[in-house]
Amino acid sequence: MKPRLIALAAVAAVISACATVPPSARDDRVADVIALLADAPIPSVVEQASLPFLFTDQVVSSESDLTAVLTRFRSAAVTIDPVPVASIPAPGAPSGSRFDVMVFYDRLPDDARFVRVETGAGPLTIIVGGSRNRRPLLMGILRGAP
Amino acid sequence: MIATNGPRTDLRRSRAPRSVRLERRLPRWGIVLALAIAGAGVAAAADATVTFVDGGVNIRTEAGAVRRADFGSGVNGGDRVITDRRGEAELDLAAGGTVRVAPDTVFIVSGTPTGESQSRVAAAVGSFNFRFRAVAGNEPRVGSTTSVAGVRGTELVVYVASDGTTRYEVIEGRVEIDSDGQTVALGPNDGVEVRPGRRPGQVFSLLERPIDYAVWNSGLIDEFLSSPIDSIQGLAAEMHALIDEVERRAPQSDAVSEKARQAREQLDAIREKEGDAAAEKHFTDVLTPLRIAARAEFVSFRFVVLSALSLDQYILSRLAAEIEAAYFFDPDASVLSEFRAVLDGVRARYERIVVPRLVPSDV
Repeated sequence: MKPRLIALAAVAAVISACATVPPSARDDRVADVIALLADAPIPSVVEQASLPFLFTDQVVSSESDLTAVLTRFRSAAVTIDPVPVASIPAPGAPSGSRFDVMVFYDRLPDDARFVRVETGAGPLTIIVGGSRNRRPLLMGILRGAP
Repeated sequence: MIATNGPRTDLRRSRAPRSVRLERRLPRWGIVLALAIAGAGVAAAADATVTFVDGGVNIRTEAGAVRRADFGSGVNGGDRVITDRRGEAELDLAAGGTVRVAPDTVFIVSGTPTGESQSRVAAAVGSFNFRFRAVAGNEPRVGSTTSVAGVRGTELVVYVASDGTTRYEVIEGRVEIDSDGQTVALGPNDGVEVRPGRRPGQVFSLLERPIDYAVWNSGLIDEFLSSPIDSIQGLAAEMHALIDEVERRAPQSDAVSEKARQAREQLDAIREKEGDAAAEKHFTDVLTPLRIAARAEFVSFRFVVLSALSLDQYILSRLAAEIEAAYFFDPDASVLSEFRAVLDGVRARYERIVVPRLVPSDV
C-alpha cells in the first residue's frame, strides 16, 4: 500500500509541477517554437506568434506585416538549431529605447523569457511567453545572445 | 516578390443595397432596436457609425481602448478602425459620406467639421472606398498619412501601400491632389500614384492599370529594398512635415484646452459667490462654447498626431523591420547603416515632439 501511495504522490507532484511551470520555461515547448521558426510554413509561425512583435528594435503591429518580415527573415537566415541553449527572464527595455519599444517591454507577460538560439551565422535571441496550443507564444526575435 | 496580404475586396464594385445588407446582418427586432438607439441620440453623437461589419474589425478609441466593431458602433474623431486580413467594415460619416474599409487596413477618422475646419478621411495603410453624398462644398479631404486630396462630389478608392505610396482611383466626380508643390486633377476613371515626398506620378486610365493590392504592395516593397535610402528620405520628409504640423498646432490646442479648464474652475467660484443663476449663465454662455471649441480643436489636432503615429507604426517600422530582416546576419552592411541614420534622425524628432502627445495605449 505504501509504495502505491508514494507513486501516486509522485505522479500528483509531476502533474502539479507541469500545471505551474509556464510553457516558456519548459525547454521542450520552447524547442517546438524554435523548430516552427526554423522550418514550418510562415502562416504556422505567425499563428504561434503574438502582436505586437519585436523584430530587432522594430515593433511590428499587424499580422500581414509580421508575415512579410518573417518571410524575409527566413529567406535571409541560415540553419537554425532547434534547441534552446540558455534563457533568462525578460529584462527591462534597453536604455534609450523608443516609446513603442518601451511599451512593448512593459507589456511582456511575467513568464516572458529571452532564449538564446544558435544558427549557422551566430546566435540570436527569441522572446517567448504566454501560451497558445500548450506552447509559448513567439513574441520577438533579436540579434545576438540575450 | 513576396505577396503577403490577405484577400482584398473589390472596392470599385458596389455593395448590395443597404436595406438588403442590414437584413442579412440583423433580425427585424435588431433594426428596430438600432433605430431606437439612434433616435435616443446615442449614434448621432458619433462622428461615424458602423453600418456593416464582416470578419475581424476593431475600433481603437482615442483613449486607447480596443473594442470589437459591430453594427451601430459609434466611431469618434481620433479613433482608428482596424480591419484584419478577413475584416471589412462600412461607416457612415456624420459629415456626409460612406467609407468602405477593406481588409488589412488602418483607417483614421477625423471629427465632424465645425466652423471653417474641414474633416479628413485617411488610411495609414490598406485601402478604402469613399463615396460622398451630402451637400457639395462640404467634402472632406481624403488620402493617407503621406498624401491628401481635395474631392468634389466624388466616389473614389484610395490604396495605401506599406511603403507609404498612395494610389487614388476616381470612380465619379473630380479629385485634386497636392503633393510636393504640384497639383494634379483627376476625373472619372483616372488614377494616379503618389510616392512619399515626391511629386504625383503620371495620370493613367483605370482600364489600363487594374490593381491587385497584394501584388502592387509587394512590388513596391521589393522596389523599396532595391533603393531603400531614396524611400526612407521621402518618408522622412513626410514625417518631418507631420511633426512640423504637430509643433505648430500644439500651442493653440493647449491654449483652448486651458481656457476650457479655467472656465470650468470659474464655474464653482461663480456658483459660490453669485448663485445658481449666474453659474447657469456662465455654463451656457462661456463654458459650453469653450468645451465645444476645445473638443473640435483636440480632435483635429489628434488627427495629425495619429497620422504621425500611424506613419511610424505601420510604415516606418514595417520598412525598417523588412530591411533588418534582409540584413539580419550582416548588421554592419553600409546600406543598413545609411538607412538607420536617416530613420534615427527623424525618429529622434518624433520622440521629442509627437510622443509627449501619446499615451501607451495608443500603440
